[in-house]
Amino acid sequence: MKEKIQTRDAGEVEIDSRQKINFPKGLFGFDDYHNYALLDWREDSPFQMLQSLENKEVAFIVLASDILFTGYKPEFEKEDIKDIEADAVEDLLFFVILTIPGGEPEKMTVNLQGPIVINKNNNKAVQVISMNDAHGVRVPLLELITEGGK
Amino acid sequence: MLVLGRKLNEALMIGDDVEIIIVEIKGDQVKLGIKAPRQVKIYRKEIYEEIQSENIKAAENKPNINHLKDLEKLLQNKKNQ
Repeated sequence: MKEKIQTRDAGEVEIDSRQKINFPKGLFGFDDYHNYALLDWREDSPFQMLQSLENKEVAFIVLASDILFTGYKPEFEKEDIKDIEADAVEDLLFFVILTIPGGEPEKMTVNLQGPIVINKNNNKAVQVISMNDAHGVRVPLLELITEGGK
Repeated sequence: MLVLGRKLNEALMIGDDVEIIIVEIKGDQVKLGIKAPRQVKIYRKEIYEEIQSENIKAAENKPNINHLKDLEKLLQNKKNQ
């Protein structure tokens, strides 16, 4: 089913309802917004936008973690993801949020410590905090791409 | 805020399920042992606040298509390796 939504960067966009993601607990710092749409940034681009459906000014650039590297395993407890009702790790998709400090793209960073976990079966999601301190909150994207991540 | 003094090896109960023990005191660092049910999340406060503030910073970015194009090329090259 298609619907039209308002976005921060691209005006009015038509989405399929399958692009809607529900965050029962919201995102850290954005506890009041629970409904987002996952949009493609551009055709052929691995970057996607997580656009709030409740406040059009709230949008995040995200990247599916398997585009960056394989073997990214954020450490969290089953309890942390009980809200998304996932039974198996195969049901989960991991996305990381990107930050562009001061508009300088070379300094773009990726939050590996606070990934978004989406249950692909019901489109529910949660932001978890990885207990692995090696997963930094601001990991330079360029380093990850050029050196190969872990 | 409740302020309590504890000596080494003494403990606090928070509710019925959370226990905090002073495990070691070394110089200016205090090591705390925490016993809690699995569903109670325990974070160092600065990490929790860091994730919050990083989200807020990330939401302020307005991506410029040219910025992302260069990174896309790099990602594509990496994929092809």
